Amino acid sequence: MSSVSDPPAGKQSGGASPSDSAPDPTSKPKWEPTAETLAKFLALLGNDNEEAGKEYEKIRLKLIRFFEWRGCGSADILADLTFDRVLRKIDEGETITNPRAYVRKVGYYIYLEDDPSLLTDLDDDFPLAAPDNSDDDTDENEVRFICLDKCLAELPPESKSLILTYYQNEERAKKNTRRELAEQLGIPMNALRIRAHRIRKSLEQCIQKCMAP
Amino acid sequence: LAEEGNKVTPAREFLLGRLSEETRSRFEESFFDEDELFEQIEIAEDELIDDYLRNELSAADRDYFERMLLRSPRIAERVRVAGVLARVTAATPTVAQPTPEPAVSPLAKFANWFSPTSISGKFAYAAFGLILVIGGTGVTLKYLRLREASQKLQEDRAALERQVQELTTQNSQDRNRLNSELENQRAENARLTEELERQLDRPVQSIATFALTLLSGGNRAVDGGDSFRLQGTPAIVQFNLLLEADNYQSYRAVMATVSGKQIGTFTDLKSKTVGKNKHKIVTFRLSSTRFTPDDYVVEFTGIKASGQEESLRGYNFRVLPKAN
Repeated sequence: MSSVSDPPAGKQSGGASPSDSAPDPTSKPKWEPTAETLAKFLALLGNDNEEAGKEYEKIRLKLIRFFEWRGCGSADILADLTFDRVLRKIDEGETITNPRAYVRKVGYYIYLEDDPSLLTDLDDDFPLAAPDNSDDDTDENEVRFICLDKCLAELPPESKSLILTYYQNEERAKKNTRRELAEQLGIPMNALRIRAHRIRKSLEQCIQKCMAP
Repeated sequence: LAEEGNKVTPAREFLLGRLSEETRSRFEESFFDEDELFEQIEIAEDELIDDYLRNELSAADRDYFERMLLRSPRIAERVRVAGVLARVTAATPTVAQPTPEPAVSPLAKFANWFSPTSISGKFAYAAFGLILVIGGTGVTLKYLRLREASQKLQEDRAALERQVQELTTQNSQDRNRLNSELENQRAENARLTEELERQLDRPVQSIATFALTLLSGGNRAVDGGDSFRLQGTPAIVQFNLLLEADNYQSYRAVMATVSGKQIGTFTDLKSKTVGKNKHKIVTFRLSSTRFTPDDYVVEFTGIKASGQEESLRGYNFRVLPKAN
């Protein structure tokens, strides 16, 4: 049974000290996870290393999204801090029965902690990442365009056709196009949304690889 | 969870920060447990990005999106990619399919030889009529001439039958050759598709791209670059059409050979400003594989906000054959 206590009702204001269940990872002396602790944690996630590895990646992705959707710019760093803290609790003898719920709760504590060295400074390192339309951005956009062109060409023809049709047209015409597309494919609208989302996701991953230096 | 046409979904409410802290926390707990719900939130994120780009969010939602979600470099990059994707889907060309020659059966070809509309048929009928007119002076003479005409017609018929036979043989050979070429092409396409699919998981290499900047009205480009030479490997050709003036909301470009064979149509093209001199240009891209050596024209149309269209001065360019 998890010993992580329920989080407080709201985000604490400045000066509040971290709770016992969520110790400050920046406190001294610095704790480091060992291979043994990591093995204990992975054993909670799956029967073998492959299964545990996949589950770890899944939880980490959800944790990053958890922080991003709460407006934290440094989401991946906060996710790693969360895992460090979970491993530390395991090291201290904590019994964890539901790793997903436990990790989320610890992540929530990290979010709530009003520690300037943990959140504010980190977020200052990641200022508003809003896309701009300045001339400096134009070249990068051209590369992005070429990569998209190339990645679209690499999609299987039916996926390419689906994604181009799905994202065509403005609001009203788009709804009709999508309904017709779902009818043609013989699938419900929600299944079409999922299919389009997965193609878009793979397309974005391809573009990311293509743009990598 | 999400109904098509109804954007107010729990996932969207969650992303836009409209849930109470308690509900939000329960929602987060759920998406950690349920992968399907997590995917639905990712889809809601897709749709939110698209709405943000199309300016379809309320002022409050837009503000929240920019303040909270755009802090994430990942979401900011997704917005940029979605912008480029929107450009591509808006300018997806409608490629003209070549009109196939109507199929003519050997029998129809044979019949054409005797049709009054064919030259040879007309000639045969005229010759026969002439024989009848001239052969009216005496029975013997008639007989001799008719026999001669009959022999001539028999010879003509034999010659025509030979021609039909030759055409049938030729047609069959052509068909076999074309079928063989088609099979080879299909095998090559399948091989290339397999090769591409094998490479999907590998890092993508950069693709050869070159630009062709054109002036309107057939004026030669400043650098004389109104032509390009086909290369051994396919490349992307970016066409930059320099505008004389930018008085329209959008533009349409129809590309064709000078003989009228259409290559592609690009609609809803938007102008953009480039360079220190703030030139206005319209760009679009095509694969070099669409072109054969020829002269090409780009018919250009300006479209006003009211939808009114005006034909503008076109652009010309030349595609040169591969260098030996």
